[in-house]
Amino acid sequence: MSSKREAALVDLHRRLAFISVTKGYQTDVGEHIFLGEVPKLGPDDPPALTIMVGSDSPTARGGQIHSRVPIEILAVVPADMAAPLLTLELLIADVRRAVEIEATPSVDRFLGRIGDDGKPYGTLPQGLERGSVRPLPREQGSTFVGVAIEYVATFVEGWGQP
Amino acid sequence: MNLAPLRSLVREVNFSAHGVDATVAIPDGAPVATRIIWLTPITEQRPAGSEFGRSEAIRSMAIRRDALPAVPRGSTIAVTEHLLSSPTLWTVDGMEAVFSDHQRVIVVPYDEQQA
Repeated sequence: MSSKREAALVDLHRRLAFISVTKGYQTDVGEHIFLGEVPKLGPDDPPALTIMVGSDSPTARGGQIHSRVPIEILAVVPADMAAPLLTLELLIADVRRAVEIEATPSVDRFLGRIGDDGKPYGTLPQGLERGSVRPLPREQGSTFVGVAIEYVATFVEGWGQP
Repeated sequence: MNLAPLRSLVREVNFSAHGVDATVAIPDGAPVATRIIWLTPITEQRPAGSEFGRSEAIRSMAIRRDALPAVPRGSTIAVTEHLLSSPTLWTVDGMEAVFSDHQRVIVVPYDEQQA
């Protein structure tokens, strides 16, 4: 039996996996996704991203536990050396599109899963919220840029019912 | 005591012993044949500011100033490495330091799309 958090992360992973040039995106970072892992990649490794889950902040209201969980998506790609800022913007747009619309439109903010009956079941009662975007610009002598994009997911759980 | 001849000798020995042939072309300038010395690359996680990055060697080289007093950003450098027969192309990405007889520049692999 999966928890709401697990279901949400599985759905987020599935959406980010859409990011590839062959599917109409501008980058291929979705072809290699790490979950909660920061590998030591070299310059010849393929483009990749990693999903990191931050510390939650639970509060109890009305007999239920509300937890706000920051989820950071970190991606690094080779820079367009003539305009590295544009590479960053392409990367941000790819992640936004994949996370926010690459799913059943009626549940796209709720990190839903598709049930056995074919219907979407949202995991988040309030939907995903956008967090900050932290650009990692190209530095002298480097050929890479990156970005850290944060989303905040709020879970509502009963005691012992994750 | 005049040490200039000794410094000159050391420079010539260094560029002869450790240097490799190179052709430097500054923007809108004619190519100039000279010798460069590859400096020890620094391997860092880039881009900085995130734990998720890539190990990348930041390459820099020393270029004599007698043949080329200035090597501005965007200059291209064709270097025939040891054990190679054809040159590899690099682009000057930044200036690291300027000395009286040579300058140290940071380079990145030449990007054909940028040219």
